[in-house]
Amino acid sequence: MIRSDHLLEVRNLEVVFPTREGTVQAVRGVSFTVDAGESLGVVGESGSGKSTLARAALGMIELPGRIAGGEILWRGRSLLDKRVARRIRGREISMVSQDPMASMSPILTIGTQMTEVMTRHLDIGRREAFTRAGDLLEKVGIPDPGRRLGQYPFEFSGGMQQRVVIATALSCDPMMLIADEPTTALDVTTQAQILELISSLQKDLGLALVLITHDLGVVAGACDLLKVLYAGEIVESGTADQLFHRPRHPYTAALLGSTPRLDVKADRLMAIEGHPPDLRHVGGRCSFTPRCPHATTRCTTESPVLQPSEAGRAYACWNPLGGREAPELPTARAGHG
Amino acid sequence: MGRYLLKRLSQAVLVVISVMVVVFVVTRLIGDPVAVMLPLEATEENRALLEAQLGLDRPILAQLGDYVADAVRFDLGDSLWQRRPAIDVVLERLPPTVLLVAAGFSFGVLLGLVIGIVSGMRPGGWVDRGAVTLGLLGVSLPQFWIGLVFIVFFSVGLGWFPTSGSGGIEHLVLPAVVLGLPVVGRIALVTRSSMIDELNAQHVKDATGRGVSRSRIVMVHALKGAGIASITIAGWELIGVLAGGAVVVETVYAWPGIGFTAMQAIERHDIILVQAVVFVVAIMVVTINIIVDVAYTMLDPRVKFDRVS
Ligand SMILES: Nc1ncnc2c1ncn2[C@@H]1O[C@H](COP(=O)(O)OP(=O)(O)OP(=O)(O)O)[C@@H](O)[C@H]1O
Ligand code: SF4
Ligand SMILES: [Mg+2]
Repeated sequence: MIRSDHLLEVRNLEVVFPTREGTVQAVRGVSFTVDAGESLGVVGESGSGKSTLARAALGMIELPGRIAGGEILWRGRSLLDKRVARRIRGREISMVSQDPMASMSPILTIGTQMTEVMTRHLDIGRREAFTRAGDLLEKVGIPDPGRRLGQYPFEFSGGMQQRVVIATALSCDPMMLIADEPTTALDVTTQAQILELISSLQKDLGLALVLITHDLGVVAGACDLLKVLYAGEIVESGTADQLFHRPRHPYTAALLGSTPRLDVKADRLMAIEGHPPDLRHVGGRCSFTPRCPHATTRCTTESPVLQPSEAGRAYACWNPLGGREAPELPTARAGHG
Repeated sequence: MGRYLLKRLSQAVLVVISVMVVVFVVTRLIGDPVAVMLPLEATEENRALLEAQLGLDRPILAQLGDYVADAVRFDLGDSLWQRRPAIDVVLERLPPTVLLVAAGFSFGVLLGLVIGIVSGMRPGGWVDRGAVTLGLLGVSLPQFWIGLVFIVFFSVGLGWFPTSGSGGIEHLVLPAVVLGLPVVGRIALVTRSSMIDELNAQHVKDATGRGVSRSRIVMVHALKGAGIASITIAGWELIGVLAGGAVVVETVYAWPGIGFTAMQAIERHDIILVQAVVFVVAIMVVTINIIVDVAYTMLDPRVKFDRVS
């Protein structure tokens, strides 16, 4: 047992995927902590390593992937130990993923898939597990749970199925929920409902929540703290308020500019120009350099490290933004949810 | 479900009748049963008499009509060789075939499933590579050749099993194994690839994240999915074993089933008996087909009876 005062503590985590064309460095030196009842948002573009980070936190990095360095501690126990991870998954940490329709086996009933987790981790029989599953469905807003338990995933709409997945994830009273883009596959109205459900469950149950998304709008109302991930590194962290109103890292600012608003149907998103770097050749410079409007020569020769700054926030940038109010970002967005 | 079954049953009857018509026409076209049955010194009168007895002097369409009408009542005529109802001969020889097919098929499916599951769990590992090689061998080696090699090796060489005939379980082992080998190969290959697909599916990864145990994921989640893919193949395998493999293996091992009987009937130009064997096999094949479809529909909730029919 290693000393850690946090529920989850990730220290200098490095995850690599060796491929024929070179080693992909998917997560590079990431550190963060999550305390009981806290909600953390992890935001980044596609390919920034969000899912890899989530899987690592569940002890689920599979070959060819490998944890090349660092520690993941869950209440002081290392999740790098497969046996520890197996006992904790589903029981103490659980997960909700992106596509609810693909998340459960299409050929087993909802009831079977909800109860199989409970009978394994809790000391209860099948009958009791079914009763509990019905109660859980009711709690996540699914009417007529008795009938629903006998149905298959394809008989549910996307939003309803995501509620089922959430109910299943919470069935063993975990202490932490990792939600990896839980609303990405859903339509806008349903997205808001599912987010609201996750937020309210988190508060009611005192859950720790790690909410992963590529969409800043999603985490705005749901999370106390945010981490912005770029090319496998945390480039900025702080409270939602800080990041929304005074982004210091140019990438955070760019993300804000490209964020669609849940309440307004945008015709076009302002996408961030350029592409994320090739993760097989990173390091030795700021990975945002080619896309950064503020890049200087130093940015191309030296990699900025995450520096703590005022009021608990931190950023990794040689030329941080001055802390102006970003005028095009309405406060309403931050208050969403 | 009732309507679906009714539809399938009437289709099955049509299939059996079509098979009988084809066999009837083909046997009339290629062989002259009367010439074979009579001794060499028979006269033209003897010949006409026998033709009349057998009804072969009438127009072929009339013969066919009578034949089908009788067959529907399970009257297939008398075996020319054994001089008694052909259907009796076939039904008498059926139990040994059913026993052999059941043993060979179960052996093939069970071993195939085990090999498929184990190799699908770790594709590329040494178990997998061995299994794939074995599977390909089982699929590609001709059965009569394996049958003979086994006799030479296990019966003549080691003296473990009798070379041929029927009797106790020791007579059953070699023919059942030879009959089942191609099934092992194909079931293993199909199960392996669908296990690999299933285990890589998102729902398996997510089940791990929800805390479902590895053993349950393999034995319930993945295997049920892979099983649905394998069951269609298994149905075809059973049909292949019954309608093809059994004839070869029974002949090599002189196993007194309908396959061996069919070979004997062909040697003796007993077209009535050959037709009777084909009739019974055709009925079994269409029955298996229906059972497989129903099983498939019941296993896979995404397929509904109305959509299949
Ligand atoms: N099994 C794998 N083999 C090789 N590379 C992988 C593998 N899994 C992930 N990667 C790479 O790791 C990087 C991070 O992937 P990850 O899925 O964590 O990104 P993400 O932020 O979740 O993206 P998305 O928004 O698309 O889900 C990507 O460059 C990806 O190509
Ligand atoms: S370090 Fe330089 S390139 Fe990187 S984000 Fe800051 S200004 Fe841009
Ligand atoms: Mg992802």
